[in-house]
Amino acid sequence: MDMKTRPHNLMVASEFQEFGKALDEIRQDVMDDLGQRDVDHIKGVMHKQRLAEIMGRGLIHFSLNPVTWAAGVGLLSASKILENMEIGHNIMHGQYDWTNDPELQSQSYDWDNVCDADSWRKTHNYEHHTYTNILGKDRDYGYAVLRLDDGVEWKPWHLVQFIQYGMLSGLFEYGVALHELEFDRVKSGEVKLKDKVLFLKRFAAKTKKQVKKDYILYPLLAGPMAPKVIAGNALANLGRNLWASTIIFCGHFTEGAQTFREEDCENESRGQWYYRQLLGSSNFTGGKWLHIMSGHLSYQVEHHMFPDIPAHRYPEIAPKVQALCEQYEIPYNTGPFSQQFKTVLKRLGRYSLPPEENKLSAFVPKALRSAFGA
Amino acid sequence: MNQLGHLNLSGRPASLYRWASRIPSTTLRTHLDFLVTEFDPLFSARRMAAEVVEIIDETKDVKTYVLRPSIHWAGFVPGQYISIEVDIKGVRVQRNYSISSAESLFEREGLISITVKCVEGGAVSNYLANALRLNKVLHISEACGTFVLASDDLAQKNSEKSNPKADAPRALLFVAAGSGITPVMAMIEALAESNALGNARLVYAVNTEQALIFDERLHVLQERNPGFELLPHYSESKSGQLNHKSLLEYCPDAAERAIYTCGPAGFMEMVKGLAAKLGMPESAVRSESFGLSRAKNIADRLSQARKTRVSCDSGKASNANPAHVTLVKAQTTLVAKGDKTLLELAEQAGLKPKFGCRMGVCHECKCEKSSGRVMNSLTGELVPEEQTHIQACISIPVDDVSIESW
Repeated sequence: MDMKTRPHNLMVASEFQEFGKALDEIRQDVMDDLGQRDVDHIKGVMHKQRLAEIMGRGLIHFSLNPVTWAAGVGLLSASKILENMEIGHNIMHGQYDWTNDPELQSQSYDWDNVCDADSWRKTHNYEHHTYTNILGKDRDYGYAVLRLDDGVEWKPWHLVQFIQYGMLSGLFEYGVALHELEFDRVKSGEVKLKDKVLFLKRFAAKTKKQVKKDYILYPLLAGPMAPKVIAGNALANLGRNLWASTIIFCGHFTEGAQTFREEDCENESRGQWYYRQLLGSSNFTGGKWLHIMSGHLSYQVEHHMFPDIPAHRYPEIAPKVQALCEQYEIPYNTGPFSQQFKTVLKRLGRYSLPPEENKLSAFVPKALRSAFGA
Repeated sequence: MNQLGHLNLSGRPASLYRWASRIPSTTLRTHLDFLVTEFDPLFSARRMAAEVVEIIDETKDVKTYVLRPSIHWAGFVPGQYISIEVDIKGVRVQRNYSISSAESLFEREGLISITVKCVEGGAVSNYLANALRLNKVLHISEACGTFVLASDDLAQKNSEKSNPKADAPRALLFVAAGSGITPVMAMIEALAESNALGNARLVYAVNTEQALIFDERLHVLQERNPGFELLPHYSESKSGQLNHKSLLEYCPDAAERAIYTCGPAGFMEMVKGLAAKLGMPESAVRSESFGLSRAKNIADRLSQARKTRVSCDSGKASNANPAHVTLVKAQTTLVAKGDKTLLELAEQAGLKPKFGCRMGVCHECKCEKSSGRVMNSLTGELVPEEQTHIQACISIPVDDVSIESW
C-alpha cells in the first residue's frame, strides 16, 4: 500500500505531545466558555427547522399549483437537512449534553432519518470517529461499495462506480441505516447473518416509523390528494439524501484527505490521534448558512478533532487550528465547496480505473487518466 | 382571572390534552405542541409551565413568586411541592419548592405561589431573585410529595364539616424553621379555611424577628382562629437554638399532638428525637425531606473530598476512603478506590455496559448519574454536579455515586 503520509514518522514524540496539548487547550477554552449562547444557537436552529417543516408540509398539502408545491418540497427538504445535519448529528455527538436539557441529550435523541439512532451512535460516533480513514477499520471509507484508495483491490465493476455513487447518494439514509449490517463481511462469511438479527429488527422498526410518517400518515391526512404528498415527501427525502452525501464525501474523500493502515495507528498518543483526524479530513469555505446547512461539517477538520463541542464554535476555533498547523507545517485541507467537490469526483474517477500494474490499464486512454488527476 | 375560575375550566382542557396525547404520531404531536407554544408557552402539553404574575418581598432575602400554571396543571394538596426548571447559563437546573399558597387561591383564581429564600451561593435562588421578572415563564412539574395533612386529620376535618358536634379535631403541632414554613403555611391555611384549625400550635424558629416569613398572614390567622397559636422562636436572641427543652416549654402537651415539621435536616432530626423521647410512635411525626438530607451529605462529603480525595497532580483521586457506586438497575454496589473509571468498575463487576472508544470521544458509554460527583480522568477536573449524563469511560467516582441507567 502506498501511504502518502506515515502519521507517526513526521514529528517526534515530544512534538506530538506539544501539538496534542495545544489542541487540548483550544478545546478547554471552549468548554470553559459554554453557556446560554450555545443553547440559543441550537434552539434557534430548531425553531427555524420546525417552522420550515410545518410550512413545507402545509404547502405540500394545500398547494394549488406546482409552484407552491415545489416551494413546500424545498422547505421540507431544507427542514430535513437542518434536522439531520445541524441538529440531529450534532446533538447525537453529545455536543449539548452539558445543558441537561432532555431535548438535547445525545443518548435519547432520535432523528428524522431511517437510520436507527443507536446504530448511528455506534457506527458513526464510535467507529468512524475513532478509526477515521483507517482502511479496514473505518467502514465509512467508501462505504464498502466505492474504491477511493489504492488500498482497496480493483475489480472490473469499479469501472462504473459512478453509478453506485449516484445510487448511494440518492438512497444515502438507507445506506447509512444499513451500515451496521456489514453486508460485505456477511457475504464473505466473516460475520454471521444471525448475529445481525437484532440489528435488522431495529432497522425494520425505524424504517417502519419513517415510512409510516412520510408515506402513510401525512398522505392520509391529505385524503384524495395523497399522491402529491407522497411524491413531495419522497422528493424532500431525496434532496436531503443527495445533500448529506455530498457534504460527507467532501469531508473525507477529497484529493488531499489521507488514509491510514491499522498498524500505523497502534498505541497512538492523543497528539497522534489529533494528527490523524486532521490529515483524514477536509473543510470547505462558504457563508454562514452553508455552514449551518452542512451541520458545520464544512469544518470537518475541527469536527473530527473535537466532535463533542457545539459545532457552531468550529468557525471560531478554526483560525487557531490553522495557525497551529502552520506552526507544525501540517497541511490543512480547505477550499471552496465546488472545488472540493470537484476533487471528490476526480478521486472517484481515478480509482474507478484499473491500477497501472493491472493488465487492463493498457486500455485506459491517457487523457482520461490525466483528466482524473492520476 | 376570577371569571376563569368561576367557569371551572379545569376539566375541559385536561380532557382536551388527554385527547391530544392520543394522536398516533410523535411528529404530529410535536408539531401541534410547537404551534400552540408559539402562541403561549403555557399551552404546551409536553412541558408544564407557569407564568410569574406577582413577586412579593417577604423579608430581606425571601421572595414569594405568585405563579399561574398551565391550564392542564392538575392542582395540589397543601404541603406538596413542585420542582421548577430554569436554564442558567444554558444549563438546565431543577429545584424543589413547596407551594406556599392556600388551596383556595388555586381553586378561585388558578394561582399558586412558591416562596424562596436567597441562599448564599445558591445558583437557583439567586437566579430567581435576580433574573425572574413579571410575566416570565418558568417550567414546573406537577405537584408531588407526601408531606401532607394525615388522612385521619383530613377525615376529622371533613367529618367536622358535616357534623359540627363531633369531637374536636386532633390537636396539631407544627414545628418549622426558616423557609421550612412554606408547606406548613399552605397546610395551616387549608385547615383554617375549613374551620378545622381548632387546636393547633406553630413553633416557628427563625434567626431574628426580621427573618419571620409570612409575619402578617400568620398574625391574621391567629386573630381569626382563637385555637391557633403562633409561637415564634428567635434563635439569635438569648434563648438560642430551638431544643427539646424550649420546644416543650412552647408546647408542654407535645406528646398528645400530631407533629408536622419542616426545616433543615438537623432541625427535623431534633424534633423527631423529642418525639422518640416522649415515647411517641414514629408515625406521629411527619416531615418534609426533599433535597435536605442529601444536601447535608453532599456538603459533608465535599469538605471530606477536598481534604482527602482530590489530588490534582495525578489527575486521579487518591486511595484513601473508598467510595461506593450504586448501580440502581443492576441492584449492586461497587467499591471505587479512585484508580478505575466507572466503566472499568462496572466491567470488573461482571456488567456489560455499552461503550465505544474508551477515550472520551464518542459518548457511547454515557450513563445517567443521579447523585455523587465524578472526576474527568482526562482533565483531572470535577464534572459539574448538575451534569447527570456522564461519560463512564473517563469518569472516576470521587464520592458515593448513584447510576440510574445501569
